[in-house]
Amino acid sequence: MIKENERQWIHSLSTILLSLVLLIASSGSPYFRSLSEWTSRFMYYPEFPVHSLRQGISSFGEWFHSKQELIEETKQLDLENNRLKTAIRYERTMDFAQSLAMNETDARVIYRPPGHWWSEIRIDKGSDDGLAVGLGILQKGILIGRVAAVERDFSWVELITSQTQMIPIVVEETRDLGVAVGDGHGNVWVLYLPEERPIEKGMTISTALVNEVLIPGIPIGRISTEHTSMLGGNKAYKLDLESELSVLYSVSVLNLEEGDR
Amino acid sequence: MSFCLFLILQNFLQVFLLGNVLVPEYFIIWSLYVVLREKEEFRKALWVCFLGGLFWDLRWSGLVGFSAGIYSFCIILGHWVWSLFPSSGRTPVLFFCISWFASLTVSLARIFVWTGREGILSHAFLVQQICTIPVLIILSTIFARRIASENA
Repeated sequence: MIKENERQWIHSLSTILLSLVLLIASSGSPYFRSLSEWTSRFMYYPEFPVHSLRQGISSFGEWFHSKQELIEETKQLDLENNRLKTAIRYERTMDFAQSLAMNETDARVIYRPPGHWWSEIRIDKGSDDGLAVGLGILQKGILIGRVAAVERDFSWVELITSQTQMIPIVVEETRDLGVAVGDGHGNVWVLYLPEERPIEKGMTISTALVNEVLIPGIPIGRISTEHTSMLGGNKAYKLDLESELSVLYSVSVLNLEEGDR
Repeated sequence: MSFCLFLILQNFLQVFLLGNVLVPEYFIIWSLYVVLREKEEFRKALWVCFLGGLFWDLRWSGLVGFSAGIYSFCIILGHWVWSLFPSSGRTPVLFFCISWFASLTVSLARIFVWTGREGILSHAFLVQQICTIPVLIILSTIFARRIASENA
């Protein structure tokens, strides 16, 4: 009689040996391959709900992922759009600056009356050259005055230091608006800046957008430390002009096209 | 019957987690529990495990006889180690250790024939162990309660 213990060992060895035989026999055998395929086919129906669940979860994941991708893509496109807009604006600005440069007409100072030294000059360009009243006059890109009267072949320019010349300006650093006015003695003052505003020495003053004829952003000068009380208690800031009005031999007339105004 | 249920559960998990995850070896753990705790006839359990492994090979691994051999080996080894201990030493902790060792043996054998990358393998193994250990703890707890109720 075989003992139970021995039977167990016989069965154990049988399973191990059978496994090894199957492992050896199955390698590369088309019979076992088709048996595997049949098992897969047979299990297709019981496994179908799990397959469906898996696919559903996978589809949801993909949908969610694609949403995320879409959001990321939109953000990226927004960023690119902003960059493109900035580039286009920059290009337009450059074109505009170039057109301004092309529209400048050089003129020679032909007369500066000693009695009105800081008020007016006469230049050798007139209506024949396309000049009109109100056009800006520049010296090396710095505003020094505006055309006051035009004749056929010459024009009168009212300088920025003239008592009657008033030009809307902006403080570049603080964006405060004011008016630049001359005193007839070679100085220019900035009026109407509120007292509480932090206006400091060295801040840049240029033409403001509120002007109909002059384009904004033409430099005029910088804030000086001096100030005095004028016009209803408002502080008046003295300007250090960037132009050199004592060395005035030639100027440029800023000829704006109709579309530029 | 319970063997079949656990094999089907493992099969469904394999379908669900198909890809870069090693499915937890619930079938072998349950087989060991049945053999060691329920005192199911060893020979019957051994052949059920062999057939279960054969099914697994035909369905998934393609190496017919591989899982069958590993499952049979684990059952034989677990039963043999269990028989080395006297009745007083057959504790839930010993059951936990034997079952875990058997599960690890099967996993390592599968990793050995798997062709995945190292990073994926370690991730798959980690996920498998996270799914296996709680089940082992539950079965060990049931084991301990059964012993306690028998001794009461």
